Amino acid sequence: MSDSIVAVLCDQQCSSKGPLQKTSLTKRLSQSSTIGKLILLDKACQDPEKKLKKVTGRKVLFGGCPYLEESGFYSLAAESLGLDPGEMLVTDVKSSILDLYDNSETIEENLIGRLESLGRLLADSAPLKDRPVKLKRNVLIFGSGYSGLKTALELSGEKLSVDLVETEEPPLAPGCLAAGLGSPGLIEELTERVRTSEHVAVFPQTQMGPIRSVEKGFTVSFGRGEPREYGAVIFAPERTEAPAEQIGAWNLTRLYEWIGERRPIKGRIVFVLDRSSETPPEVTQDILTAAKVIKERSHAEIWILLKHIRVALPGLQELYDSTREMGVIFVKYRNLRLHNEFGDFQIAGEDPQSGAPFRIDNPDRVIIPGTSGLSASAASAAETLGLRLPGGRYTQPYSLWRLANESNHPGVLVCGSARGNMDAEGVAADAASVVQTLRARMVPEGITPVEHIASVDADRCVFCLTCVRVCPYHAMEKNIEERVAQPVTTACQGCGICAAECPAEAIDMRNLSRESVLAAMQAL
Amino acid sequence: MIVAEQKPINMILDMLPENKRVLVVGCDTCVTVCLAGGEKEVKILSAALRMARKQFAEVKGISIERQCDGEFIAEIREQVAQSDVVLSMACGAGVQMMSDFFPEKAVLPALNTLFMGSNEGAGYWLERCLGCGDCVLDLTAGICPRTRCSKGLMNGPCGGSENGKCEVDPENLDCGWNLIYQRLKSLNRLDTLMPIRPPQDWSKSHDGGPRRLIREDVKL
Amino acid sequence: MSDSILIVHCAEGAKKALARMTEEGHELPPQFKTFELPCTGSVNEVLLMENLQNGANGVVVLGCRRENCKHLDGNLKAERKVARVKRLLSEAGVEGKFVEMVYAAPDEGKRLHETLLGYLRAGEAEDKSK
Repeated sequence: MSDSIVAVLCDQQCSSKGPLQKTSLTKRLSQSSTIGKLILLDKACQDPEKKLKKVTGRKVLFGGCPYLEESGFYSLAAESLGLDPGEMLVTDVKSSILDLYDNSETIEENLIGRLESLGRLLADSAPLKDRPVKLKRNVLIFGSGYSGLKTALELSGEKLSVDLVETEEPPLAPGCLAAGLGSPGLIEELTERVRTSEHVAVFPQTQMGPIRSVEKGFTVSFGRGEPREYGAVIFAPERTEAPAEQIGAWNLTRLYEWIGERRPIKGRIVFVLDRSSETPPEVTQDILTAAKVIKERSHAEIWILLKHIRVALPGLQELYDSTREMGVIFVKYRNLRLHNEFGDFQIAGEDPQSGAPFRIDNPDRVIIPGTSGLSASAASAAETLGLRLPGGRYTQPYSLWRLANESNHPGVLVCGSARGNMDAEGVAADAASVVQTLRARMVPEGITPVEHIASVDADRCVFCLTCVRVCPYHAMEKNIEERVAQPVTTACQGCGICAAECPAEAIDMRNLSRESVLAAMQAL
Repeated sequence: MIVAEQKPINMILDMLPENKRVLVVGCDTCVTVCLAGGEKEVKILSAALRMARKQFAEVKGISIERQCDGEFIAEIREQVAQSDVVLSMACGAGVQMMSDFFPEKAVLPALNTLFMGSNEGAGYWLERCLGCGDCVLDLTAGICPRTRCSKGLMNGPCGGSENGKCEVDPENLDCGWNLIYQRLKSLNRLDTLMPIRPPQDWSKSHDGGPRRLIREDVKL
Repeated sequence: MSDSILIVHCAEGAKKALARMTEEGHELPPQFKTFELPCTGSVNEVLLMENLQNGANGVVVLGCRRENCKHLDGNLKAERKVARVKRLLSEAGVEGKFVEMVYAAPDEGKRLHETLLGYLRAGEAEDKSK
């Protein structure tokens, strides 16, 4: 074979199942029509440059362990041997073969099978010499609340042009309200700085058209204007608070409006927390701040009813202590009954420890924080962007407890309150973190397409639009002139879903065609 | 486009004679787009037949551009000659044409051809056109009174229309004439409904033998 | 009959789950072989049927937990394909072949091991009952 594959294995001396036996492996591979040569490296992780000098070949299949990957051995190999994607494959033979089977015969058989299998894939692969694509140095920020404004200002220092989409949502999420109250005019100040910045242009959401993936990133049109291009999109809306569930009760947003306008709040004020779910610490911070302000201004009688107090925020314990010192009454409850006659409340419950009943009659104001989530317009923008919204709150994919800024859609980052309950400091930190992630994406050299991106055979494509509809990254475009589907190479992540769904079998992943994959599976 | 769906595989197996050489032939046009009979489906069905409870001497799977144009069928004469039975995954038109080309072979239908319809979204096709030969969509604001009205009325609605639904299936079926009325109203064209229209001329539809379309200006 | 089961798994969570499984010392009998793809979403009915037709007794599609797919819902799409093939095999009266969809998270070594061994035992039970 002209394109003979060289198989390079670490001899796995450190494994209890090793070392691998060169003679026996070489003998079995001598019959192989795929693997031309076997090289066994004695402890590949030690002195890798020296070990790699033994390796030559146009196409190389490496078999090692996870440590070899982590220690950068394979990147070193690619560089020193001058191998492009399509000329090299790496497989972990330790976790998935040596540690998987118990006897040496099975191990050897599967090792050979794996080499033949991946050797077959590599033999069918073409070297890829993709030129990196330089992204447009423009960023689109969706959201003009605290999160969006903060992010816009962070980014304007990065020599980027920023377009900000103004949404009609309240500018501060529940959980950030304390920040607004602490420094009145905070939002106004940030808005002023953004508007006067020469790097930021502002557009209303009503004019925003759909977002499309293109080679250099994304495009969006505003009104009748030409589509504008962006290297990245940042989704930074504010979470909005649902109205309080009871007629006549206020939610926090309403309360803060009232306080912000300096309207009087007097008499008996009752906050009811933890009704449908635990109150997050950021929201607790808002409530305690409000309670203190009300107490200072009007000496009202303030009750805070709750199941548990969560003070997992810097300074929150002190805030709680000082609020108690001011005479705000904290009552823990179980079995709370809120009897509501069109806004006239009777509140009754029991102490969770002693069971002793308590009642609060005729409060002048009842405040029940509403659950927060994305507004309808933000949710629909998230959908346009192809963002996953598990549980209606977090817009990130990997798991519900990992709040990365990177969304499941490469190039679309998520910032601020859309990622979860955050106070003002948290939002500022998030904005800084987005800038970091953005730098990694907008590198001057540009980004290179993934190896296994989709490739459409124009002759077979029947233009049924299945792939366009099914792509998780909106990375398949309709090419109307040629009447075929076409991948956006910088958006495609090589998941292969389009190839699987295509009814005409017109799509293959580069270097992972359906034919090669089947043949590779047979060779195991 | 023509919309069809695969027959259940046990019915297909019942049709096929045991121990014979089977040639599965797909079609790359309409039935590919409605996911019933394209390249991919040929492979799936062929594999199923090879492993099924009934034994066949051989199962081969191929696909051609269209089974309703003889030139494409002519390309597979060889393969058909080397088979005992042909299982066509095309619509009824394709099955019949294949049968005309290979009268000595059994040409069997793997699909049930359903209707002429539109793709309303991934995985959802809706019947739109009966091929009545006498299109009146200009009079009904683009909503067909043959397919959308259960009685095919020309001057509907009838008394069975309630809350915009047809009494045939009041939960799921919209009254076609209500749809027509609402759209004409929004277009300010209710005057279109004033003349009493004569009943459809069903002689233009399927009516005694297969219909023909002949274009003298194109015939060779 | 169950002497060849192919585990087709994704390069993300499922790969880590298998690695965790072996790290914890759980081994698999020789009937099992593994093959890695970028996402289980790239598995379709043709891949499943042709592997079975070409000699595998069973194909196990191993993907990330339902809400964890890096590519949004590749794993869910794979599940639908597996379900269709199951129906097809049953309606066509195919014997001695199976397909299964398994979800695993990187911390579930033991459960994964038990699930996989279970498929082997099910096959053996079927053989014995003949």
